[in-house]
Amino acid sequence: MYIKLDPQSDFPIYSQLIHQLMEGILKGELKEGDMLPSVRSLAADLGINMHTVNKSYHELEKRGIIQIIPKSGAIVRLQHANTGSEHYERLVREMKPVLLEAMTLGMGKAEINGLVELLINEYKGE
Amino acid sequence: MEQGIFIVLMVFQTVMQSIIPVVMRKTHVFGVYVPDEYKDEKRVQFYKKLYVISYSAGSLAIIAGYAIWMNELNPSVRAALGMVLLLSSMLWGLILYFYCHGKMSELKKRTGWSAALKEVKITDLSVRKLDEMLPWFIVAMPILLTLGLSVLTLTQYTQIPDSIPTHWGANGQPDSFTEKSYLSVLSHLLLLLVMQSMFVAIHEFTRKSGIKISAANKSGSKTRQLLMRKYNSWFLAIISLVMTVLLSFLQLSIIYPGIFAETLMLLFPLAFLAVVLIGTLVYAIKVGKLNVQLEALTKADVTKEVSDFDSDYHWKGGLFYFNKNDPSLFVEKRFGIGWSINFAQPLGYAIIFGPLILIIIVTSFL
Repeated sequence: MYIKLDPQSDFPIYSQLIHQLMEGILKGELKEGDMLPSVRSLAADLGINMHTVNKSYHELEKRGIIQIIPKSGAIVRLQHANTGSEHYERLVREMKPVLLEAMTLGMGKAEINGLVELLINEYKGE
Repeated sequence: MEQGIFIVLMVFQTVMQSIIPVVMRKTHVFGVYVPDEYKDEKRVQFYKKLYVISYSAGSLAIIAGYAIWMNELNPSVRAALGMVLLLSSMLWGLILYFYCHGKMSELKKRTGWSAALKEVKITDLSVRKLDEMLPWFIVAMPILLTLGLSVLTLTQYTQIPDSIPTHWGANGQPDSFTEKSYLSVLSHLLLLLVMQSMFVAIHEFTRKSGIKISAANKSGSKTRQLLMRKYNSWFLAIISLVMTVLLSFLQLSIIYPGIFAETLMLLFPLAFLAVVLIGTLVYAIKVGKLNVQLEALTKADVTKEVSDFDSDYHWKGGLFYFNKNDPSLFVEKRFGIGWSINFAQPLGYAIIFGPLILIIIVTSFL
């Protein structure tokens, strides 16, 4: 699968990389157990700083999506965000301020639900 | 004889240098990125022709003049003049390059070719699995021969004559000697080891360097880069092996003087030179063919994007890649066949200049 980063975007490079890898998993282009390239080679192929790729990999590991194998790369290892799990708690924490902002700006329950559904369909490519 | 070889080398250099604009990728003209839809424009073609004709005419005139007059000069003047002429031919190429580079940049700015292009950084996650470079130990294999010969040299130390050759003349016979010592009998092997290690280092750091994909032709550029890496890998392995064979023969002739017939001693360096020249030529032809195939096989993607690596920003003067974020040490040249270093990475300088300095140190002790 191709990774394409836009240096002029508002999103920093490391988060663009995180998002594209997650999208790859959603689309099935990356599967459980697939090997990701080493930090050095991915950075060299993209022409970006190694620290940037390292930051993305560590963030993905923290989020229970990959497992870093020192010196050789990383493997896709998905941990499920079951209700009450550590990942679930984090997602709740992170979604709260966004929801708060949406409600403050006058979005109702139906509107918010509609938006969530729209985004889910978009990520699933429907 | 020496003059003949020198003229062959100059002609070879001229031919290789003058065909560069023709065998290069059409999207990279004199170090300037030219979007696919403009690559066949008349003015682009004009500067290519200008370079090829001016360079070959200038250089061939120099060589012809030298070939005609050289016999009337005394040998030391002749050798010095040869070097001066070789350098002036290179300088002539550089002047023409910068003239055309300037004209192309100007043309690009004036016509606004790339104003609408968006720079992106792009790669294929699975491209590393397709890399076909040789494993490091294949390239490092000749080192075993060097170590074996070192052991042989040391066990035979007492039998080795007291004067050790350090230089061989055009007739294949040694013409300069030094006193026997552990350093002097091993010096050639030491130099060989430095060179072999440099080849392994270049090979391995090329592997770690980026596989660069163009946003404007993703699948074509990917295939091309992978093949380039493979050719480069084989080229390094073969040159390292050939170099090892030549120096091993010299070392054997140091240990056992007179082991090889005179004609054989004359033939070794010539065969070495021939293999290197033919190897270089084959490499260049393969790369040139690849560039033509790429045109024919793959259609450029319809895109308004350009890879950050392809854009002119990181290429100073169109010749020097300077990108401190990119951990790649070696990148494919924009103008010319082969690889260049990322000038923003100090390790690259160390790999190229370190061995040279070591060689100078070793030879100065002899």
